Amino acid sequence: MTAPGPLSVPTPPDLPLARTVEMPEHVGYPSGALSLRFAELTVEAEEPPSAVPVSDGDRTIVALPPLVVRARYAIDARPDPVATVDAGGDLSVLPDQATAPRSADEPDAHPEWLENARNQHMELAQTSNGRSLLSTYDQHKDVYAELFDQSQSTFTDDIWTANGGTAQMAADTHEAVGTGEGVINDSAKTYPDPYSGDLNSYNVNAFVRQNAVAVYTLALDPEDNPTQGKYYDAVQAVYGFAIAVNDTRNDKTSTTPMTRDDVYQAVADHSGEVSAEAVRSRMAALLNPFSDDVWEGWDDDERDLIREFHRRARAGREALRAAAVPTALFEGAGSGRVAGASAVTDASGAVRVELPHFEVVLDDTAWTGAAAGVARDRLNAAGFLADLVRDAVAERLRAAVAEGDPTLLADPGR
Amino acid sequence: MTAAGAGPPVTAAGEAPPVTALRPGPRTDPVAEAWRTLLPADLDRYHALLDEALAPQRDYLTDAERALYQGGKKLRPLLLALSAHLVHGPGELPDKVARGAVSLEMLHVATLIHDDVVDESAVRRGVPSVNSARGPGQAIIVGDMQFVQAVRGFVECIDTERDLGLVKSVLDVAYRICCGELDELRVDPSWSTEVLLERYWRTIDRKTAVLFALACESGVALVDGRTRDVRRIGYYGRRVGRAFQVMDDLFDLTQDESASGKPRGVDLARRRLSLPIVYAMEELGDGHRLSRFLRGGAPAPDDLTPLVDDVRATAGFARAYADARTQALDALEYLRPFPRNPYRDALERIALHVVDRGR
Repeated sequence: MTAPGPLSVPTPPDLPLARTVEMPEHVGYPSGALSLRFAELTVEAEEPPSAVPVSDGDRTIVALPPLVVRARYAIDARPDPVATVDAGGDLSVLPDQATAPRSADEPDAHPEWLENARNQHMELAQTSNGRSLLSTYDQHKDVYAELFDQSQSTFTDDIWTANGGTAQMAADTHEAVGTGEGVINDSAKTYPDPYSGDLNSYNVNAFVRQNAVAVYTLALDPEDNPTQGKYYDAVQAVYGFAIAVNDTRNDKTSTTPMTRDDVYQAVADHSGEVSAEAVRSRMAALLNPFSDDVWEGWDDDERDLIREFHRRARAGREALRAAAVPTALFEGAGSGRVAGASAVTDASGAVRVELPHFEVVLDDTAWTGAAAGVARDRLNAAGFLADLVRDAVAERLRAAVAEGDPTLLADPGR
Repeated sequence: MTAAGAGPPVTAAGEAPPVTALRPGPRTDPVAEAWRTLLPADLDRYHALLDEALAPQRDYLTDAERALYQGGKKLRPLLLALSAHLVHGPGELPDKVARGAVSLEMLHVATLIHDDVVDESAVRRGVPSVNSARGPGQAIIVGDMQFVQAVRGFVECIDTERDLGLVKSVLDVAYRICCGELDELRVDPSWSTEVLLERYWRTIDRKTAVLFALACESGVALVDGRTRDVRRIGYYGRRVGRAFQVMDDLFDLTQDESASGKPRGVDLARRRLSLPIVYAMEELGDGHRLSRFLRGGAPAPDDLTPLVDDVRATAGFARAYADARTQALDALEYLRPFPRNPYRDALERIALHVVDRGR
């Protein structure tokens, strides 16, 4: 008889366990995502098979010997910074308490901004085009939320919070919209550029941010040159809006002062239709920024700006990807014993292995720190994961039984 | 190695050290636990208002149909109530919150009745489906009635101008659910994997996740929560909804009829391209019997078990599970800015339970 030997079981792919977990110092980043990786999974008979097949109607059942499942595992960590911008809320910078491992109740820094924003939302919804704008935003908001996920994009640090310009624009917009009397895009006011810190007009800064959103959003796409899909569609929506704003005679170089009522009137009067050719032209530049023949309608400064965004967005993405190489926080072995398994062969010759529930206990004696506690909790709770392992073992055993594996089935001639 | 059932080792001090194990079997259900321990008064109020809301339909609903409302875990009403308490605190909620929860469940029941008509399902929540009892014609009208009454219930929640926006949201969600159901029926299995995946995520957003998002958003909005909190909790809800649907698709391939109330592999039988099935088709290739069956090139076998087993044996099955976990873990991130309190803890437990519960 062949000596018992382990059967190799296909391992499931890495399974995410937790996000934004406090990391030990040696890892080099404060907050990480944890995942479980099986390096190896095997099953073998604990003792030679001895059971004789029994008939049950047109089925044949044979008890399998006691089995041992063994695993080698790693708990991997990857950088996963806690979001510092409220991407699901109002895009404001979150208070420290909300970006720490545990959050606390922090009053709004600017509750009046939020009330104002709510009122403007309701006001926008009063017109057909306004509802269309809100609906378009709603359609793409998941993509825009990804843009603020600091494990996926450097947009937040590169653009949104850099030099404080966005917050200043938000404050002035609140003021002008709230009273209804002030001009929103007051050409006498200036705001710092996110890269250089140079002071520029509201319209210039709006132009910079629109294009930054477009370029960085496109860079989220795992395809390097996408021409369809949710990122592409979201960028088209950005440019559709930008082109509609241009219809109010506002662009980077010229400012037509707009009060709150002017904006609502412009929204109400606008058909919502924008030139498809104009959108296509902008998308062409974004997709091929280093070509020379895609810049009709753009000036040299704009071309250089887009190219710089492109370089920085991709450099940021590459840096994030490089840093995302997993670190094995904990590694070890695990095992479980399975008694009472059986193989059932039906009249057609199809084999099914029936396994009772079993546990795979992981050696966690070397686990320490906050990450250990989180990993332990998540693994102990993961019933479906235990089922996955059981299914994989059962499938491997089924194949072995079908092949007449002598470590599982007794020799009938013995 | 530790033998199953032998229990954790004990230290010299007599304390059991931490033990980590992949452990099958049932877990504490945080949905039932939250109703029981955190929100018992809200549950009583919910039932009272549900009876009130169903009273006008007394002459039109059978006992089995009324029982539909008693079955189920009331997950969506719970998400609404927890979201409300999340920002409102432990005090008594305004009456309109419980009315909103009832209306939300009516909207959900309306979708279930219509789903059963489309799927020709015989059983729902352990009782005969409306279409099996009355035929599809009446079932559609009964479903419509639940939908209309749900909207009327939301209208009755209005006592501020802001609440008007909620009714619009409800109608938007109902429209998207219809879009999602139609999208699912119009999937062409010959599309590329990339297109199928994009369509899958869009469909489950519409047919499932938007209702979860609405539940959470309504809870915060009805207690006059901040707009940014309404939006953020919606992100949580949408991701929990996505995870829920992916898990539902996985359970379709694993759970027996006794556990799920429907035959195993019903998605396959209807050539419905759920996430694990799309991944499996990609992995097994065009020539495999699974792909040939789904793309219509092979007749439906009498017994779908081998095809179900084919899908379960692929890495794609576990890959779909990993996707569900990713959604649930993302959901937790949107809870971070909220104050830590028992309601937030319960929302966290629910998100994790959606992907942790075994068969």
